[in-house]
Amino acid sequence: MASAGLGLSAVFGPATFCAVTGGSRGLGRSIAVLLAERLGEGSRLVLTGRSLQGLQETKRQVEEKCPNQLEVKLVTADMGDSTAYPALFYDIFADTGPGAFQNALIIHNAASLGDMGKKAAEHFDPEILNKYYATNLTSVIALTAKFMEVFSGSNVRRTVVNISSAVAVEPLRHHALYSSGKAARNMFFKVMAEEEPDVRVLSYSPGPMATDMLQTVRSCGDKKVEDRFNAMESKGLILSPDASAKHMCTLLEEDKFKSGAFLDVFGRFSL
Amino acid sequence: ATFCAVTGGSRGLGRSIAVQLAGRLGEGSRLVLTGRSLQGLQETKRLVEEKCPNQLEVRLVTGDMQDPTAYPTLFSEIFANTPGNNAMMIHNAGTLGDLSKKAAEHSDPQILNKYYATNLTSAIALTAKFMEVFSGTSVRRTVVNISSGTAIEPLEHHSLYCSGKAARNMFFKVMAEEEPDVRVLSYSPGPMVTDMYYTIKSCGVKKVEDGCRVMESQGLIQNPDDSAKHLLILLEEDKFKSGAFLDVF
Repeated sequence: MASAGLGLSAVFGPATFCAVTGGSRGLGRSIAVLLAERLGEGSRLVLTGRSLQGLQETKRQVEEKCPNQLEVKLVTADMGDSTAYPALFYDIFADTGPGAFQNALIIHNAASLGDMGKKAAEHFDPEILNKYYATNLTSVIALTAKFMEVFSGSNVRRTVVNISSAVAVEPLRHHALYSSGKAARNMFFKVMAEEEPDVRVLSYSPGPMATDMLQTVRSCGDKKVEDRFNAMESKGLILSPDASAKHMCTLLEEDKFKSGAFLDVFGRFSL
Repeated sequence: ATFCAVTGGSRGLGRSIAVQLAGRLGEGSRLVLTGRSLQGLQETKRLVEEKCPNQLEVRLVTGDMQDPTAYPTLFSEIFANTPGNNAMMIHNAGTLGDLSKKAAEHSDPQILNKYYATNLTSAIALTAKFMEVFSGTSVRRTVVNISSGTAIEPLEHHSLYCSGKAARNMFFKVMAEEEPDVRVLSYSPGPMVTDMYYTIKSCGVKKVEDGCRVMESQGLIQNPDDSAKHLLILLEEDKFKSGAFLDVF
């Protein structure tokens, strides 16, 4: 495949393993389709999500773009269920014996918002809270540990991407759970970046995008939140997930980011 | 007449905060201390009563923040028959997690879930109960999140602790936005001579251990009493922006 520069083949070249969680719609789908044309020969794309139908549609779009080259594996999973992790992780990383891949990427994209109808001080149910953090925090940590174990050894170039959000650093009403979960992930990956100099770790804020998630946010019932997104829409700041996915891939290919950095699609911050 | 609850009151900073508060809470006030060690709580109570023998009602509630099924009982004990026109909740209890593991080595989801249940979920659920019990504008409410510099500065082998504190900081920033009538403060107490510090100092990571030694040689490891004092001054001066994250230094 054509190489746009030194960075391209180093990150996405031949024999690349790439797992994307939440690949059944939205940003996850856009990332998958974009990667389709960039991943080199002998690569494998693994997509996880709760909706098999959604995953299959993503696969169809990926194959439309590059019919032969890429092996696409679908794994249906609910990140909220920790008891299912062993089977889930096994499926994700099956047939990744030593020497199979030169590059390995994991893109932690799957996420949930939590109950947007509640203020911070109204989240009283510990079962719901524990489930929220299991889905958005624990699953990501445990999956990263498995990824690192499977691809241990210095001859595989490893990249971990944490799909984050501006609300990890900018408080937004009715987003207590989402903000706190993203803030936790950002810090977790900063520590990981300190400890793993051989791994490229990136936290990426994709910006507000035209996805199901944004729809949920916009109908949360809080006028301030709704006004904010209406204003963004009128200024043309609601991105297509494809555009945001493209920006993320560019960051990865240019490979100039400091490991552990938290970068925003609009370049509004670099933390 | 102030109600004040302090979690993790059986030793360390929690004990210091309790003793410092003893001299400041007015007549008819109540101090509720939670912790896992009854013996520790009793010693704290003894120190509090030594400081102000008559004035303050001290209530001890033994409980483990790790176990969500126990929260209903625990919370109802904390908030039973609450008096007063001031109410303060100090989220001090915290654990470090397994410091022998790097971030990428935390493979057991059960352990991870337990960690965040103890350090994140419990504080959120307890805050919700506090807000429910003291709803209505006639009570002046304050929520303190005992945080850490590591909420914003990554520290090797502290991925769980850092991430939990970062999560709490953001949670309380959102709460501060939503609750203009509540004073919300995230406080970084700085390194102190406590059991937690000794655990960190013996974590086996040279960088961290060296850092501790340097701080010690510069006299930067405080007595928890001093940090508790500083916290109470911040609360009394009451100039902080709600949701702010302030450091002892």
